[in-house]
Amino acid sequence: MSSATDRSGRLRTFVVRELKWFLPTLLIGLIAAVLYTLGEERAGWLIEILALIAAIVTPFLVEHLRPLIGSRTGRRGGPSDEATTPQDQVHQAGDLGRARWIRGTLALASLLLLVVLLNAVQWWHDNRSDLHVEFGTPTRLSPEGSAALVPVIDGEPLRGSLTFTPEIRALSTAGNCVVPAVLDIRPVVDGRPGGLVRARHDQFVEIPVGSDVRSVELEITYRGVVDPSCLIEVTLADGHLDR
Amino acid sequence: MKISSILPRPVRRPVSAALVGVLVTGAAVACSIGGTAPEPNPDDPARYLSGTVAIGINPEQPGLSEYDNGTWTGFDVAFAHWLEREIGFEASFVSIPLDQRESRLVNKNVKLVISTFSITDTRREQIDFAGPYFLDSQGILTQGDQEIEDFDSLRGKSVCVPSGSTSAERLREMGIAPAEEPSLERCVQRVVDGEVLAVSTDRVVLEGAAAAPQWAGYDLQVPKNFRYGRDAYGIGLPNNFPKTCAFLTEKIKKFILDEWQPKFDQNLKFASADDRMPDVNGLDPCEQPTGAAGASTPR
Repeated sequence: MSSATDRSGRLRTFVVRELKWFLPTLLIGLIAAVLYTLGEERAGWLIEILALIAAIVTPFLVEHLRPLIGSRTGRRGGPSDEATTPQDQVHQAGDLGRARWIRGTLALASLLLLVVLLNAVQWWHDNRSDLHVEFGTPTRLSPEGSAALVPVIDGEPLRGSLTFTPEIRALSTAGNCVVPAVLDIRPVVDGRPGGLVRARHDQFVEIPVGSDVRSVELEITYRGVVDPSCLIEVTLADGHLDR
Repeated sequence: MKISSILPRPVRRPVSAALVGVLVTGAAVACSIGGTAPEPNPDDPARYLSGTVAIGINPEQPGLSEYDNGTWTGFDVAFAHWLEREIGFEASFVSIPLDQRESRLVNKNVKLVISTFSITDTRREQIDFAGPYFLDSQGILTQGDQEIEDFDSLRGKSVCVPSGSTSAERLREMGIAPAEEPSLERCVQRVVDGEVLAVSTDRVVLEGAAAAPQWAGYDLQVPKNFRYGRDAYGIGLPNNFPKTCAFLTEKIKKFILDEWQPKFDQNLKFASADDRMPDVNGLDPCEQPTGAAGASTPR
């Protein structure tokens, strides 16, 4: 009776000891992997900071836990000094078999969890991650001149906010054409004109486009300069669709 | 009582050595901190525009900045004096050639340049501007009526421009190679001597030259319909001075609202103020150092 209780106690201890660290670690690792795969900048920073802390702390933990781990090793593997009778040896062999079975089950469960999470990551990546956006070659504009730009978005579905940074380069040498320049940007989403966004050189722009959008176009007008001889080249750099 | 006397003999020497070490290290650290103490940010308008402020200015811009018998006069001079009173510094005018306006700022020979200094993208690569406080366009000055109404009339003709003005670049962009002279006066002299057909630079400067007493009787004219480009005069500042720029921009707004017209009327009687007063709501934003850009605001 007492040996059966001991066995179940040892098993419980083993399971708790293994699962207590294994599952949370696996979960944290997978969440970190998901965030990292999504390319979220803040998540990337966070993971890097945590990795740095872990890298610093781990050697200390290992060093300080070693005596504790060492004291338990006798109960981990094969027959110990406590197993003196043949009956105990049979019980210990039974424990060993159960431990192997649990390890195998855990490995399989981990594999399954990994597959599920990888699929979740794939779905998230396809539907929610940021998409790269290209705006084509630089656009030449004179004061009060306009141009329509159709962004080439690297994927679907289209939703969220279109972000970019206008970079203006003066093609005329004598004018004051870049710093006072104001770009009036009107998004046309699925053929419907949206609200006007006012941008300047080297200023980050974010334009909400809504959800489940089929097409996005930008109408850009060059304003704000008093010199009619100005001629500029506008490049919309670092284009992304933040979903 | 000596400190050593309260310590047991066996530990006196190590403790003394340790104390000396601590003192030496402390002194070294103090010295190193003192030696590498960061200089205060020069872009602090309260400090930069205090005491005596050297202002670079050209002495040969009729109606705008002239120096005669120890006295500076003109619109730019009046504007600089207004800033002096408004901000509370002592202006020290430094006479500089037009083509040294940027280099004098870069080399820190002057703190500001207020001298028909057109704001251009090229100049912004080396310096900052606050403004504009005056708008103008390019024109030409000829002797007598030369029937020049557009650029085609100038092609193949000799045109003089003062070195350092934006006119030379603008003319070259239009395929006209100008002759350059170090001053406006030399260019006007060449027109009077018949060596060149015209002088090209800012219209207000040319109108000032045509009205100057020294050229009276030479029938110098500035054709009203010949104008090109748009010049915006700003206060020149050293590069990466966004705070001082913002501070001066606010002062310029006040100047435009309160003092611009009277100062124009006093100093530029020969010219028309039409289209020359900037809109206070349309002044240029101050350049921010790279990487300090803000976000746009949806309306």
